[in-house]
Amino acid sequence: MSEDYSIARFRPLITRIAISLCLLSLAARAFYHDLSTQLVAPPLFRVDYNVTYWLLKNSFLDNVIIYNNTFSLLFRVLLFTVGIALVIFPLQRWLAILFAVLYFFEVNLLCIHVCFTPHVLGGFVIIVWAFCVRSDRSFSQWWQALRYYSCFIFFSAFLWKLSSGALTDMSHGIAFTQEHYAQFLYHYPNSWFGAVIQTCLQHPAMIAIVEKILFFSQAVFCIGFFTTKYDGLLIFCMTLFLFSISFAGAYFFYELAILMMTFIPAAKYTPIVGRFPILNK
Amino acid sequence: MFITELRKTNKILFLLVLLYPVYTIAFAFTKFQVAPFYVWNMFSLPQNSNEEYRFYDVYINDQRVSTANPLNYFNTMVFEHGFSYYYSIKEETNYTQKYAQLKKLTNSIGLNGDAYFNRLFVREDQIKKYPAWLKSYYASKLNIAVNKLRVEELTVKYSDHCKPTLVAKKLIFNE
Repeated sequence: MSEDYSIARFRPLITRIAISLCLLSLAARAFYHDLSTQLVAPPLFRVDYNVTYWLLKNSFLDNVIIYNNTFSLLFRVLLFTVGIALVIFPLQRWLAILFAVLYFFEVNLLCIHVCFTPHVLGGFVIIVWAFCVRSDRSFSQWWQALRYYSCFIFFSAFLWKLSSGALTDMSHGIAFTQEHYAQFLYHYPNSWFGAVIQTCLQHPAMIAIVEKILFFSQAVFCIGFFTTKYDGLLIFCMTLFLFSISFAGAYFFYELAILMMTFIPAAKYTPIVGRFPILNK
Repeated sequence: MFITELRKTNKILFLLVLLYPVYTIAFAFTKFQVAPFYVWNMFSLPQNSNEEYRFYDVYINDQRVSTANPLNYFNTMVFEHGFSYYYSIKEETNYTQKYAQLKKLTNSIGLNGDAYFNRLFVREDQIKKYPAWLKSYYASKLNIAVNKLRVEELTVKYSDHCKPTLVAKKLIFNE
């Protein structure tokens, strides 16, 4: 596996898919006015014990990107323009580097100023770095490292649950669902979706079992460190986990699903390229 | 093996791959983070299902707006997390003490910790601006004129697991 650089043959296609999806998620947030540059000069910020946030806050970059209307707009236009240019010219390294830097500022300044760090952004913000490297070998290595990163995310999440106690806490699942649906159920107890949630909540044992199965689906990612044979199973586990947790948490965590791309073997891209060779040029 | 190959050919990636697990373990003791290398420990603590839950209702021009949107968690994030943070630092008198140890440490090694860390605190005047900002944020987001903004904090408790019933209601602000 380590000597196999075949994934690099599909670098233009992979870049196009990943960056297009990244732009789509950015566009969705732009539609809801939730980009860092659309926050209308937020007075609050939160840096906690995050060294990157300290550096960013003290770099005074926020004065330019967040608090200056003209530069906010320019930044937004630049982010999308560079992204679209990268989809058109996927092998231009300088575009990839520029996009990675802009996306890094976008994500981190957003987290600082909405006073919360949503981990779902952890996929795109790291994946874009793979497109910044020069050689085919480096690209393959980065892509493999990202596959391990994806395994690490899910497996470490399982280990945290094991060590902190969520795994053995039988009321964790029901409390999680109750917390996230409290507002919805309070205001819309008679809606059809409210009825679905209430029916689920009436079966705490079932919720607990389903939740523990989901936790163990995270543990399965341990296999990914040793073999690529079961990558299909890992994609299945990731889909199962993201969808179920989205259902229980009342939000659709679609952005993290980008990590599934790292489990797709090179051979799967061959038919796409065979049919649409232009996508890989 | 992948890692030995990296050691020979790609030193940067080798270091990143090696340091990430170490950093995650170190976080458990130090609580320091370096974005965008997140620590994936959310929802790992035990929860009590018999708890009271708090949420905030927003009324714009006397009409309740839904802050939750399944397709857009940022919507809730900007509001719920931003708001509970606002509320916590408004009430918390020793908020600026949080970095006191760090300031002391940086000062002791000859760096000007005060100057560096001061910009990391939300100032009193910035906290006061928050309600007015929320108005202008919603005005821009929903593209309507926000004349009145009212926020209520509701505390609910579940009866028979599935029905949230009101325990307390508190007016947070009415602008």
